[in-house]
Amino acid sequence: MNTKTVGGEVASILLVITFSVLSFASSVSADGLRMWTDVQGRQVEAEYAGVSAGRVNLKLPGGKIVPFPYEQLSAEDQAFVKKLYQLSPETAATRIDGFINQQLAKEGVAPNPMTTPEQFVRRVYLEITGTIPTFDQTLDFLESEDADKRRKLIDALLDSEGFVSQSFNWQADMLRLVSQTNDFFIYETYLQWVKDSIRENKPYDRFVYEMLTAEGRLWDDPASGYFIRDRGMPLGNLSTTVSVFLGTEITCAECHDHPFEDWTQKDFYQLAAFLGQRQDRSYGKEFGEEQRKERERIEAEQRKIDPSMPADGFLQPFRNVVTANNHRVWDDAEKVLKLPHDYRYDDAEPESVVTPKTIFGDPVDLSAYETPRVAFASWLTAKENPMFALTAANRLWKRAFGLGLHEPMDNIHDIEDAQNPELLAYLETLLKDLNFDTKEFLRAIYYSDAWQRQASLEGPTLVQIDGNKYPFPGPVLKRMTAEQLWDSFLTLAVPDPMAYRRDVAKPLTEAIRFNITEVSGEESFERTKQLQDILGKTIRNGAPSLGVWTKEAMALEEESGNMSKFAGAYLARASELSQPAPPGHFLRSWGQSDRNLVDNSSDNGSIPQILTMINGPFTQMLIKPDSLIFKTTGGQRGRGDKMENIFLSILNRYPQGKEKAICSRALRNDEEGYGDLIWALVNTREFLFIR
Amino acid sequence: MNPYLKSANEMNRRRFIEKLAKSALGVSVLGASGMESFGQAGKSGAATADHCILLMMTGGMSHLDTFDPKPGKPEVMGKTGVVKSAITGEPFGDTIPLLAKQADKLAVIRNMYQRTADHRQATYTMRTSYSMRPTIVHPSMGAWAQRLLGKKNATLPDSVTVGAEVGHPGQGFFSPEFSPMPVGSADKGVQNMTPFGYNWSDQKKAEYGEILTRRLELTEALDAPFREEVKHEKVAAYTQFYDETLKFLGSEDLKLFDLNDEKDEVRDRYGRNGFGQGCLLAKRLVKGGVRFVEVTHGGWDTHVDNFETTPELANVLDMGAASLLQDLEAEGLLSRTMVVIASEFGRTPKINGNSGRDHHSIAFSCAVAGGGAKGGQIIGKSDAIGERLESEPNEPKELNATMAHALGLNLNEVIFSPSGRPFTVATHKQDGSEVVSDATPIKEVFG
Repeated sequence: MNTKTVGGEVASILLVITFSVLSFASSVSADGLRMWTDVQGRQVEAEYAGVSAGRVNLKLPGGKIVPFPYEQLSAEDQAFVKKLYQLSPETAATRIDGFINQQLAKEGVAPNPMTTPEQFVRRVYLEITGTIPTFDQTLDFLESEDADKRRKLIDALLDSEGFVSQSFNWQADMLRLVSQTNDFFIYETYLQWVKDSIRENKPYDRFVYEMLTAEGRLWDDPASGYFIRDRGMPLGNLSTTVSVFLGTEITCAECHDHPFEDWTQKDFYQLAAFLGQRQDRSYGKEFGEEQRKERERIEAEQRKIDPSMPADGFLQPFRNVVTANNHRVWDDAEKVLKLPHDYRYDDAEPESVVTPKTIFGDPVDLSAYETPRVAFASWLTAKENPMFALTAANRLWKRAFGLGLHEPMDNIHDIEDAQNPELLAYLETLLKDLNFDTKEFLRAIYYSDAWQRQASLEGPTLVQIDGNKYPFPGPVLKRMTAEQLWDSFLTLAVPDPMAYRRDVAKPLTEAIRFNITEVSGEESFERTKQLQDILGKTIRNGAPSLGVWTKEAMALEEESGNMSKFAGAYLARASELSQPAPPGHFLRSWGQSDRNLVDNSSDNGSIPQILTMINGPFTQMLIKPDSLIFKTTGGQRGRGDKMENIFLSILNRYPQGKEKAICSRALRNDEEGYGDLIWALVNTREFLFIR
Repeated sequence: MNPYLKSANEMNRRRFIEKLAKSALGVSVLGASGMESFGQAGKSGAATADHCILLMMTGGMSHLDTFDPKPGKPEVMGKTGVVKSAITGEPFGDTIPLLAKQADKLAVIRNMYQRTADHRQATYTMRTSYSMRPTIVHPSMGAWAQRLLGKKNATLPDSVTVGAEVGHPGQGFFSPEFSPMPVGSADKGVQNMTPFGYNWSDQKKAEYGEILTRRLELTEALDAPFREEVKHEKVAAYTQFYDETLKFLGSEDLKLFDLNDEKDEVRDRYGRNGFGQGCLLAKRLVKGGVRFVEVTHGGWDTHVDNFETTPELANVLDMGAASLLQDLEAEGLLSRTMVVIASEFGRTPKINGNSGRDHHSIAFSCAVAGGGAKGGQIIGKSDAIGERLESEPNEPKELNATMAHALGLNLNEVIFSPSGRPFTVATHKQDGSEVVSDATPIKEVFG
């Protein structure tokens, strides 16, 4: 096709179309319209649809794609295409592979073989959606003859609700997300906000900025949960913020000059001073006095209605609500941060007022911002911050490959210490150029051959981790996380586990949000009841979960019989249960983080874990004759071979010749026999590890 | 090397599994429980204790409201009062009256000192003696004891943690066989011990043994190609955990974990809460032959409302620990069981704006009883407000060296990590060309 023809088409179809394909190209104008101009000054409105063989594909209204020679485009359009092309996941994946292959060649390490289709389908579902694929999903992929089926599946899964769930689990470990704390703080709105942010693919810098600048109560601004989570511990919160988002460990400097690093105690306090006005309680004498009076008034009214009210007043749930209402994030312009009384260095007096100053990067002009806190948030999340994008890129790499390019993730001194510094530098730039679109960033990684290779059969050794010496011939061999294991059990047991979505934030907000001066004794009773209804009895004795599901889930419940609960635990995805699950829960015994510390989940083995697998109720659930796996593997698809279908359901592969023989020797052809097979397969190491 | 695995390599693996699975019928593989079949050899140090129970208060227990009160200093004590203890002239905080009565058993160490006031770092150091490093995990005391002395009992785990948080360092860089067995909640004992609960009939046992054997054999056969190809240490570790589990299932010692055996009044006396029941479980386990038990009691991070929260937490500690000391003594176990009450740090004398106390690591208290410790004494001293030490500090490594010494561990015995770095039980230093311990036991403890 030549330019003339295109020109002719331009003349005939001058239509305005929406410029929508480029989900990754935040640099494209928001209205999506684009006029293309060629070297002769002719114009056409069209969508960019990728580049192939030196030609730019222009998608005309009506869907026709016209490959247009790149060099025939105007200089401006060439620059536009060049930028988009570089940011496309295909190009980024190629660049990643380039850096990795170069390193492997340099070190004389052979890359791992590519994953087989069976290995790929299992891994991609586990990594992106947090569970093994279902029987049908496995077959759909294995039987597809589409040459581009891997990338198409990656795209589809990144847009699925499973991606939200799996990303939430990852964030929950990093941000120490909890549903409630022992003093009855309920963080449901905050948790919901995190999920919504993932679902709408909020840019990562925006996400962090919103947490750091949140104002109000948990139900006014859910992102305030980030600070309220650590209420009363502003300095500890700061240490965590700096290590999680800036890959820098300054904890020691809270109390004294850091013994091994450059940070001084003064550095720490100067940084903390940005947040020196931040409060997490509605304090002040007047406020306290008003609260006390109102409480007494309400208690008196309550006693009039019900003389049997306990002597110390409010019913517990209502008392808790009052306390929760007292907490909000705000800035008190009167407040200043002072050095501690035992400050022992010569550069300042103890208890002297500290002026905000950043520890690296550009100095901040406070006058340009509404509050010092906003200035801090802007500095921390800026593209110019030398550590923010770098730290995020390294974290996302670890999420995909099981090991950071720099370890430890939370203490990066020098990018040159990283395994493959050029790659890390490229990833940092890529994340910035993508305007912190983490989904696009992950897409590029998942597209790469490097990620699609088989996991390494050895290592990394401690020495490799210590010296950042693992050259990434493939991803690290991972044990399923607690969440992946739990969610995979559900995939085998429940028709649509994703239907059970936690739906607590809204009703809870309605019950909790009030102004204490406007609440009568009568209303306080109503609210207490309302709360008890929502939370059930479960929340106070820490039972497995709140059984509060979406309407869709309730409908499904009625349709399919009682599938939401087994052995006292709700059969909902890990992301929809109480955060974290209570001690003793399957999830906790498999290493779900207790959420006390950042990145505290564990893949260490233990005897209780094995007991859950061989004797626990959830394995029993799978082998009951009425379990889902028997229904789905009854032979309606595949080759009608029940044994084969069980392999496809659990290990997502066909049985090999010898295995068939083993099974037919061991199995009687009845449900008990197949139950043994199911039991045996979920107890294999092959099931537990991601190849 | 685990003796079972060694034999497994020689034996046909299938027969090995069969044997283990069938032993789940309740017949112990290697004889009766409580028998000390290994590890008496090679003891050094004082060897005044056969067992150790660590009661770990995580979050930072206020020393001022418990073991190191400052009577007559209301600005420090806030709402906390004092109570007379069995040590003349040395009152305790009124949050722990039962322990105060048993102070004749306690050596109270008031000169504890930590270099960090960060929870994660400080609890890690309290459990391992070492500072936290991103590239290695150091073993905790129970694992060290098993490593240096050998396994104490054939079928029981050598060390058990009750209610420990996920981040517990466990066996550190030692291989998985040294891992403490975690019990999440003492109330539930070891979960999923059987699919039927604790009390199951002989017939059911027999049937289930057969089923388990059949299934495990199938797993072994079907998983063989994967294990052959993926010889990753993490995979091998899981295979080892399966073996350990089956071995454990085959032992009669399981009963030790079932608190339903205890009378209600006993269980009430320890306190019907995770920690109290954990103390009761610890007593049973020690009696049964477990060497090291850690019971964790969390939530001491009282930045807010210290004078409401600390008394509640301390009451739980008081009931559990006091009952434990009392029963260990009554059953003749206290003389050979060292009980240690520890916390990662203390809390500030200054009461903050939220009626709370903040982290305070440069002066705090721990306490030791039994297993060779001389009771009824105060070791070390803090200043008039409990803010700074007025005697030479004891760090976590000294407290750990004390436990190790009592258990008969050689403090200078060097164990190399997989990466080839030398370590000793309670931190090490270079002495000329030799690596030796960098900690000494707290002498006064032993009187």
